Amino acid sequence: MKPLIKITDLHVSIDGKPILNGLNLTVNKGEVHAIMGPNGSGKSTLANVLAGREEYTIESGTVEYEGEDLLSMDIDKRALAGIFLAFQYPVEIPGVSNSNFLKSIINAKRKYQGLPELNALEMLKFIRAKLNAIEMDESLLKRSLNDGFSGGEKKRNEILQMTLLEPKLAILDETDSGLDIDALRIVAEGVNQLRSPERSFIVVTHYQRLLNHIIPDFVHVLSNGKILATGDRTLAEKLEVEGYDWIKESNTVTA
Amino acid sequence: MLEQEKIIEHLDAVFRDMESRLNGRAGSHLHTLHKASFEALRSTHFPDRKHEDWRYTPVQRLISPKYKLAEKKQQYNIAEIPELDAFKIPVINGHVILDGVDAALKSAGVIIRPLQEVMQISSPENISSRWLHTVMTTSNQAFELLNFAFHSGGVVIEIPKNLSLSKPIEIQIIHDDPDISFSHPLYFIHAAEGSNVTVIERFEKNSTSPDATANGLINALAFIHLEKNAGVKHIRWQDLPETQSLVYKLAVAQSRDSRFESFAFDFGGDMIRNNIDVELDESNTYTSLQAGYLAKRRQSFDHQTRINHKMPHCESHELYKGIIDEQASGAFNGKVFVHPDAQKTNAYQQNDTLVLSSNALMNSKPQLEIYADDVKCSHGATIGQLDEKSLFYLKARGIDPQTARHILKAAFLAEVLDNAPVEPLRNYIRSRMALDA
Repeated sequence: MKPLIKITDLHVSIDGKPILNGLNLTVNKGEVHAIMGPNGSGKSTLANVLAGREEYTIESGTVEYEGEDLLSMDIDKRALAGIFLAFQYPVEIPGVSNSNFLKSIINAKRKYQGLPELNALEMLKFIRAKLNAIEMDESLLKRSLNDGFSGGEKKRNEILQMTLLEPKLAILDETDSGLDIDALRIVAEGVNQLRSPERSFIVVTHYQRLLNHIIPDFVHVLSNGKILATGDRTLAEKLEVEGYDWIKESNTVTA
Repeated sequence: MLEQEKIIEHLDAVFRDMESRLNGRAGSHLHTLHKASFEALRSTHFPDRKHEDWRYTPVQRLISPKYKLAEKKQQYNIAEIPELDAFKIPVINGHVILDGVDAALKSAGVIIRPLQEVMQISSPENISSRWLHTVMTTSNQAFELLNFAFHSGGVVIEIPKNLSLSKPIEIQIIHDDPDISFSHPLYFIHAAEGSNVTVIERFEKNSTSPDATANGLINALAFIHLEKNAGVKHIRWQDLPETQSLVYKLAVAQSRDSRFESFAFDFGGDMIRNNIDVELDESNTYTSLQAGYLAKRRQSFDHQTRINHKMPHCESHELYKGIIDEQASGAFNGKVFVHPDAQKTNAYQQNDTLVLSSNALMNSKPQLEIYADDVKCSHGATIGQLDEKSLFYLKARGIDPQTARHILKAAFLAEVLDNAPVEPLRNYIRSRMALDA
């Protein structure tokens, strides 16, 4: 089977400072990969580079997405091709209503797929159906995009967008950070409902607790911009108990 | 440098031509004022860049020695604003088309009279008449005098005591002449004690005329007088063809307990000069001036505001938000004067600008002059670009870069637009903005 995304020997820096130092990762269709690692290990960099954030410099390496060179694709084209980044810090944009924003992103995707745009009524019906699934209050649609939203509301809004856009590859960048246990459960349920043999996930997290709700197929430990260990979910449990130090001390481990 | 003499000489010829066509009305009271204003204009030089308030407006681009007076015209067609139900007053080439004034306005109780009729009322009790005489005989501003000398008969709109008008008044101003020309719209709005009215001024092109895009200058003067406890909401929407310029002056006088809110939206035109002067003659008034504008190409938008706090317990707010792109330039010069008697004044002034091109230019100068000691006043200005993080967020959701930029521009102006009254007009402006993506 051809992988959905194949990252080979990726070296990335920011302001001359190396962050990723030869990262390799292959994700097949339908797989859930968790990326764990201490602060500063490059987890969020990986997530943002895949989405196309411009501040990073690609020093060397390749990323193939559905057989194409992902690194040469524009940010919006990556999204349209099915890559979705759930932001660690969703941006607040006053003056853009959340509902208009959602309409814009849904219709941008439909246009790309050659489908007619949804009218206002169809749109509302479509969005409402998804809102209920993640227990999100409809009043959040009328407000400005993420403006004054609580941490939990912002993350739910990310999951709502993911649900509406039905990506092929969803990258969750520390989606669990700052969430209480109820919000965490709802966000995880939103993700689990989307799991399918056609959809893959890269779940970036610092803590194991999210992985109690979203069961990964693979767990990778990132340190100093490289994957140092790969295993199944038991690796995450081991990290929870023993911390990251044992990995830093040893060389590449395959558990 | 402005060739003052050449211009005055030219204006003199235009004035004599106008007189030759008065046909027996040369001795009228109005024409006496025309003449007096023109004499005053002769000795009042047009401002140049040495004048602090005109530093950022190249006057030589505004006042061409080629202008003739725009001809009177009865044919006009201004696109309707969808779902807007308003009392319309058309002003074509500076002529108020009295026949075209919505008859329902009269039955609603509003009195509309030609300026000359009101000015001939000699009774000192008539506030409008007294006020008109004062205004027209004391001005020392070149463009005001130019209007007073060349206007073709303005209009006085009187909102009677305690009348709350159910629909907005929509003044439609167009300039449409095949030759290079100027026109001088002039109107006075008098809101009597306890009255409430919303006034829309639309500066747009004549949508059916082949001459609608001829070069020209609209030199408009508007006066709004609020009596005790009156409320006026004013929205000026400007989308002129890019061959036309506008010098606009709004003078507002507020009596006690009155509320005045003004919104200005500029998208079209070439050079746009906006002056708003507010005199707070009595206490406990509320004033809000807001504007949203988008300048492109080589457009020049210059906002000048002056609020005179003369009495205690008055509140004024200003919020001017603009986007300056391509080779355009913008200026904001806001003055708030707080006189010694104006204790407990609350005055706030803010000018925020996005400058989106390295060839675009913005000059911002919020100013406070305070001569009282128990006041709350603040002012500020910001200049910035579109937020990169926000752009990335939108693009990462599949929105193309051009649309993403447009969404952020619209969001920047939304703060002012969302505050404005009259929903159909807001929607109309929003859809016009969408074309500018």
